[in-house]
Amino acid sequence: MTSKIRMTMILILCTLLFLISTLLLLSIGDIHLGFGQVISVLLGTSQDYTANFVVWQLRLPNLLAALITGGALAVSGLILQVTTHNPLADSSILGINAGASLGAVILTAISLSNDLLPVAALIGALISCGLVKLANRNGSPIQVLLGGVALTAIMNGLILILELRLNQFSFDKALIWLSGSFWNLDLGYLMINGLASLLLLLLVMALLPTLGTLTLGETMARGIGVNVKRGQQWLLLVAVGLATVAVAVGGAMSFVGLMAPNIAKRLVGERVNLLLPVSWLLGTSLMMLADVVANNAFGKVALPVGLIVAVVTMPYFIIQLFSWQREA
Amino acid sequence: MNWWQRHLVGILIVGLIVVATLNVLGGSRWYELSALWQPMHSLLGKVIWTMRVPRLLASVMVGALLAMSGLLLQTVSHNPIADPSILGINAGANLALIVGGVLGVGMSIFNTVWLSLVGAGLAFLVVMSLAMSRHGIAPLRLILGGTVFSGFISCISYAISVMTNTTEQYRNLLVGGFSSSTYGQVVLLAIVLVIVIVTAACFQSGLTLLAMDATSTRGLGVSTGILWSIAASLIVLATAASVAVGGNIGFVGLGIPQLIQAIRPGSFKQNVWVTLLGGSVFMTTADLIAKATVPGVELPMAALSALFGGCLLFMMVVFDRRVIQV
Repeated sequence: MTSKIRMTMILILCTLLFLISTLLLLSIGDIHLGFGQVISVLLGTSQDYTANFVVWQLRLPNLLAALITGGALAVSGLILQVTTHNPLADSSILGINAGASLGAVILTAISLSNDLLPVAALIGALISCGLVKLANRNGSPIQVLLGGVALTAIMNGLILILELRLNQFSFDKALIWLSGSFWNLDLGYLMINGLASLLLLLLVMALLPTLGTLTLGETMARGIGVNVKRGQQWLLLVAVGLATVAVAVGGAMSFVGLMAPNIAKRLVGERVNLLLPVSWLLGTSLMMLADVVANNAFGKVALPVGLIVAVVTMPYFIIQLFSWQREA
Repeated sequence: MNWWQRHLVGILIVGLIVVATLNVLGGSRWYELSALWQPMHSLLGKVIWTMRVPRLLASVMVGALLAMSGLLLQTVSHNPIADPSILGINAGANLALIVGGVLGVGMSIFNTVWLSLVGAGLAFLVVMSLAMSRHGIAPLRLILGGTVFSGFISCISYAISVMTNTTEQYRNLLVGGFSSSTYGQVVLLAIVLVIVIVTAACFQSGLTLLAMDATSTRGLGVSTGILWSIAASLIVLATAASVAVGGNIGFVGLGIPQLIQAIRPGSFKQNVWVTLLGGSVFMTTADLIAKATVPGVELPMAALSALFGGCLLFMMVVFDRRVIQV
């Protein structure tokens, strides 16, 4: 009973964190709005023209982008960690993000329209996922991680060459795909990607029982009568899809998919029906807060969100690496 | 031993001469071989002697230094996949250069060198202390921790340069290359190279012994502490000088020693000079590719070396059993 109360408390706290991050993102900026104003705008009761304009036109796109990228990365990281039994797995260290970025960059190099960008990113992500699976032949977690590091290096090299060949001076654009930034805040584009991520999240919900059995370990799962291979493959595909959506919106953000599920696991344990929502809430909150900091903490300049995310998540990865080694 | 294993040094020297000649003649415009005999004061002679030759010399020496520091690092860390760029030394030197630039330190050759030395040294200390466990250096921590740490430092460098509106400088460091090499830089590299070569030659037997596990080394009566610090300072010195001149060029230190090792397996002592030559040949070739493949465009050197080294690393991780035994 006490554990049930604890879980409820954690869920409530995470939701609170999520709501506060949302309000912060919507209220802080060059034009400062109060929480009350934001809430009344959201409820549709505000008559203030500026407040309405700021919230709906200026800050909603950022909110959507943060929700899509943060949520998709966190859930994809959770799936990767469970299916590979590797607490350090996540789409950025495995090179999936870099693959998706490379796909996107190749598309922008050969065509002028961005319509097919998510498709190109998906192809890139699938290719790098296949290559990582090659590194996973022996099932050694270390091998997979190192393979991912190598892949990331190769793909980032290609991205740099392609982007600089396009235009020696469009260096900042190359960095979107190397370190992550909300580069396209067009509402239509965000809506399409949001819809895709929503569908994928629903698919994850449908696969939740399989994911739950996989936390028990493969032998146990097989014993219960789960088709482990098929389930893993489906889940992996969904994870790659989610990472692709995140990259299409925000470029190659690092380690959100590592950090959110890991903290969630510490809070609620191994139960996936709790892990999933808590990871999502934490991932999105992280992304929204990073957006707030990136846009407001440095005076007149706005930093790319990816940098703030990296500065937070990379030390977390190193800490996590140590505790993992100690257990192993 | 095959004949080409026995004559590897000779082959590499011939290769270096050929590639060096091509490097001087090639570029956005190719010259005839006779251009080398043109008098100094003619336009052609000026291009050759004030632009192309220093560039060639810089790439030869940076290649040698990076390969050397990679080999040293692999020897002392008992780990085939160590590289200065994986360990954040490059990124540390970069960060120091950016911070120096922002603080208004003039970018004279002397200043760039001590800045990158300080940065490289600090980053090296951080990564090593991260990697130290009770059983010596833990290879996995060294590599993964180092990679992520160097990513972290690069992000900070980028953030600083965005805030202070100096992304141009960050770009130059990240992209790397030798397009603006001068004779001043060449002299600097030559001094560092001589220091590194002489020290390595003096201590080559000791450094070879470091490759064994710590207990055997100590059992032989070698003072590991001193050798360790010598190796570490050589690594930092070589990498810092390379970054100061050529920017953030990674993976050469990984790739060249491993290739040489694959062609001719041997200890540090047996392979160190071949590795040095191999690094030079590689870097000169890469520089030629960077400036001559697409006319009018300089391909980013950092990306070229990452492509080569990343592919090699991936191959090693997937197909080489040694890597997994950590």
